[in-house]
Amino acid sequence: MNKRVTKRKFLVPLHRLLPYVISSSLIAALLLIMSTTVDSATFVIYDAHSTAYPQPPPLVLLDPQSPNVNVVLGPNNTWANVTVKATTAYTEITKNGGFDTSPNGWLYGYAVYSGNSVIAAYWNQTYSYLAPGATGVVLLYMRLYGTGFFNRVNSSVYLVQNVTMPNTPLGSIELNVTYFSNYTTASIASLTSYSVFAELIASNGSVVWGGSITVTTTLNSWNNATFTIPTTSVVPGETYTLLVGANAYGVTINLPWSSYISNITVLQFFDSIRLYVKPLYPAFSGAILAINVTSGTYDVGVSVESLNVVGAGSSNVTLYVANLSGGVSSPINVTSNTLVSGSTSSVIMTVPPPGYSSGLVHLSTAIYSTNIVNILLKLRYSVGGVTVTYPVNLTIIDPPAKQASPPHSARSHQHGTTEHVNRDEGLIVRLLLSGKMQKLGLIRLQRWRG
Amino acid sequence: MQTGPSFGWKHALALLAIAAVASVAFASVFVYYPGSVTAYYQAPPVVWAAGDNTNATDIGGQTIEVNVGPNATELTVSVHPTYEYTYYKNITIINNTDTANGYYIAIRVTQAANISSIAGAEVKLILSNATSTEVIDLSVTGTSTWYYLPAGSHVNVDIEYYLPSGVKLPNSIVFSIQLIYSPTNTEAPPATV
Repeated sequence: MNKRVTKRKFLVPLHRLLPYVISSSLIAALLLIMSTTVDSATFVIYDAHSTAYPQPPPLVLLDPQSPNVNVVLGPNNTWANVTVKATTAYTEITKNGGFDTSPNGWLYGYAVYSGNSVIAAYWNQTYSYLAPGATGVVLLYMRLYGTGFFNRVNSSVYLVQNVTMPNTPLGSIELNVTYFSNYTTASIASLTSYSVFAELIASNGSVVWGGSITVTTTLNSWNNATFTIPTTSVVPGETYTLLVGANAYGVTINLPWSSYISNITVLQFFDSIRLYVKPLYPAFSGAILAINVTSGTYDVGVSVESLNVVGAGSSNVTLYVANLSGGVSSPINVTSNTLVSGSTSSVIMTVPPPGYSSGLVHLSTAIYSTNIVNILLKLRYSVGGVTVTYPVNLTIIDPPAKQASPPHSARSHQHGTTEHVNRDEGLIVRLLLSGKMQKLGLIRLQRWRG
Repeated sequence: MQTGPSFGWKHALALLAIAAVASVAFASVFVYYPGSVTAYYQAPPVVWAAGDNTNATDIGGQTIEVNVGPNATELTVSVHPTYEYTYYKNITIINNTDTANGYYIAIRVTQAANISSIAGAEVKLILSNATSTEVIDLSVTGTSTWYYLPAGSHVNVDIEYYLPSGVKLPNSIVFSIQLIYSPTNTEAPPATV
């Protein structure tokens, strides 16, 4: 009996469970509805379409054909790899140092220290009388004389040109002169000294350097002379006056019973006068890219994407953009391997006249001799709301082969033999009469202080 | 007179049995609650709008053509890129005109730019404001992450093309996108519309 009662104790009629089932279902449904509400979102969707019509580039890159610049252009001329060789080679800073086609750029001056002197200067393009085949020779003429019985005579005549030192630390300065010296004496006269001299004079009139070579043992032959000028004598970027000429000193005697005037005549020829400078660090200055616009007008500039300097030495880079009409951008500037200014301003470029480029990218750099400077540039051009960029990879290197001495003119090297001239001042007269000589202009300078 | 087939009680009983079985098999309980939905149409709070360079000069004497359509809810763009990188800046904006509520926006690329045959080519859409930038690759389909557009603010829309030098320029490069916006960012937008 008890056992049956116990069994019935666990039996629950189904109708008693129904309220619990219904209530549980309602709670579950409510939770489901609540969760759906929490995660629900409203989405609004708009359509958009774009069509691009690609076209050929209206601005292209070109090789400016600059010395020491190697330009590799990509297809379509829309990228470039530029390698610049910064060198420590000598660079001539004199203009028209060979007098090849004219004496342009040169004037002459003179000084008379004692006695009297007749001074003149001439240029001859085909002076075959002295050096067959040579062209462009300058003659400095000087006739020294006195009117008394015993005369000390001393005069000099020289060529003049202003030269500007590069604005970078200099490693060396050399002056190379190719000259031919000759003199004659008339009556009782003697030449005591005869020299070819050179000077550098600062803008304040002070002589910062001077040198001379005695030529009495090398008369009547073409000779090369190299003067080494200490770099401490000059200031980079400053302008100096270069004098190169002849100085003669002697004695003339006029006898009382003769009216003949004793004299000394000097004929000093120059085939070339070249002043070379060598930068202390490898350097380059010039155009590295040309830009040509084929349609439209654009604002053009350059910016640095990355800079990498290999080597511990200090390197400096200045880069800017210039247009055909002379507009120049602000520069990109790398100072001591650090990017100081990473972008140029923009300059306007448009379609150029035939034979010209729309603009140029200029580089001025001096790098430490073991450094390699790599700059990834982006040349940009823009109009309206669009900007196009072309990659330009610029590498500045110091090539291993360096020029050890200043390059002498090929023609100067031809002068190794002695050629005699008629020791007669009538030579000048004959050349003048034959129309082969052109008299140089005169410039008045301070007196040469020998 | 018999005018059709006989229909006796046996037939009726058979049909009733079939109906009973069918009722057991498909029986459902339907409960109906009353409900109503009312839509109140309103002006779109997020719209396409002109950027600084909408319809500005393009390279080669062309024009950057941008049309935002009626209600500013559609956008069509026509541009003229060239080799290397051509960047169209701020040619349109996405403008939140609701000064009280911010929205989350996303870009879905529904038709990828047809540049798969040009090795290395790229087309990108760039969303940016003063504090953030979102770059979306338009060469593949997909949906970007949410980008928050605060109340009353806008985001600039740029497009960049990269066409490597030396490739044959295609006649056209086409892509289609959808601008999606939502008050919340708790749920991904629906896959298709």
